[in-house]
Amino acid sequence: MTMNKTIGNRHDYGMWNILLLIIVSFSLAGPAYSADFTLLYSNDVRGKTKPCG
Amino acid sequence: MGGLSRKAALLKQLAGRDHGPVLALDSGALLFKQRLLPPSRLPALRAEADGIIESYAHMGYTASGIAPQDLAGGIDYLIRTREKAGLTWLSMNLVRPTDEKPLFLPFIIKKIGAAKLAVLGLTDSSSRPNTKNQDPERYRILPWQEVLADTLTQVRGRAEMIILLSSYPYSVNEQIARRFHDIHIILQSGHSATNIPPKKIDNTLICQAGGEGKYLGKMEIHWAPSHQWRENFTEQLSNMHNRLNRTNWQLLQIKQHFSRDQLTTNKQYQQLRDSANKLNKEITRLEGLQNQSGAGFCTYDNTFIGLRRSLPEDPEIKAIVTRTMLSANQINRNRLARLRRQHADRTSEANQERGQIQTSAMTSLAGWRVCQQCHPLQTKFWQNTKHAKAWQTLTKTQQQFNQDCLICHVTLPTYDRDTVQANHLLVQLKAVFNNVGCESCHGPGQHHAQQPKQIKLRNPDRTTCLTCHTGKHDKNFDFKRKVLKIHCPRSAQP
Repeated sequence: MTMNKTIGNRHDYGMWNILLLIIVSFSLAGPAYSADFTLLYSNDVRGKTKPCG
Repeated sequence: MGGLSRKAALLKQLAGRDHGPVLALDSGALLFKQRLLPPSRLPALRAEADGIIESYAHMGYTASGIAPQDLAGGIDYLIRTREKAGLTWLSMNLVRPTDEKPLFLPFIIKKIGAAKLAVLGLTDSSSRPNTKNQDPERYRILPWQEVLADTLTQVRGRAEMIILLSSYPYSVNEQIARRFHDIHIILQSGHSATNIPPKKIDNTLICQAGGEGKYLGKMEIHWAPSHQWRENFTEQLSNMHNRLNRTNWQLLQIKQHFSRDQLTTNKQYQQLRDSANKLNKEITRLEGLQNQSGAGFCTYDNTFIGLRRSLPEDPEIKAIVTRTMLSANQINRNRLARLRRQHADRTSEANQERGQIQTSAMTSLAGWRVCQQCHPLQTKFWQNTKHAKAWQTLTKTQQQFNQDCLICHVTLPTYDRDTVQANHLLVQLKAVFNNVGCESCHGPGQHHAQQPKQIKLRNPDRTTCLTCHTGKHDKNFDFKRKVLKIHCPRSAQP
């Protein structure tokens, strides 16, 4: 894939500029992680009121 | 242990839904009920603990904290389970006394979706090791003040979210939350019988699923780059909506009984209308805040799922639980048989030495078949009560050789645990004394059977029942209601 294909004698850098802009803006924004997950939690597995059951 | 197969099925169901990744954690108090265990019972209890660990590894739990109860089987036992099981134990303050190095992993880093999470374990140091079962020279539990700051330094920068599994009580966890703002969730264990929904202390949520393994906590989390929990008014809003519904219902009742003119002068109606208006305004305000603060903040939606008996069971975990219970029962059976042989040998030796037959408290019992001869109506009634099937209930749960349970499921001359143990009464038990018989309530009846007119038996009262129906075993015991179920019918007067 050649993005800098020549039109006449001039190079078209438009696509490169856009790509560069995207990369720069992402890196400036920092690590924009966000996560969606389910936390399942429990404790005290052993029954206390019915120790024989 | 019965709830494990239901929990496993529920976990599978939740993990299978299209709700993103799932992280399952246990905050501890997993293996044993008490911090102090009778050494004689340890082999069977360890067999049960093995089954719990195996089940947890199959269920896909990522890690578990270590609570003081988990040490009741001995530190060596816990270390062995670390080596063979698939479950990660976490504790930053359970250390070797010699160099104060942790005996277990202090934390793990886990990637969940796009975020990295650090899960840390902290063991309650406020209880001293049990010197009877354990060797206190083998480990120490350092106070949280000595270890937590250092451990947090190790995880900072390596994880975006920090979860602490703590067996400390709520008051200590609250102090921890106020001091370390970068702990985002504290999952507590061992200190509450009821569910504790997330309480936000600065930027830390403290919560605990209810005790006895009856609930599973489920928190659906949206973790945002701000690392700041949004203020959550869900519970407040729910309470306000309930109050508003009640107020509107009362207003409707009044409206039905009065004309419009009368309503303008009705004080109660006006007061209720004022409070409905206030509630409406407050609800609108809180809903506005809830929606406003959503952007950029971390959010959660917490529910507690009751592990009801109606839930389906996971067949794989059910098989592990059944195998475990059978194995523990076999250990108890062998132990009881060994004690019976030892007792028989001791009695025989003593009789030979003294040249006399040793009497036992058990000989004061007649057995229900003797009672039946003079009290057929009462015996027939008793046979239809739960007391008459008390021993069978133990066979269903594979506990009929467990002496801790057996005492309250059989007929004995006394139910004082120390006396029963000191006199080896359970090892002398004959089949006729299985189940809670007539003499459990009325007292030993051998002398009464021989001299029925001269020797009368007691009428049981509340204190008789309370020897077994303690708060620990029967928390909702109501003597007045329950006594009707076992009250024998009177014989027809001649």
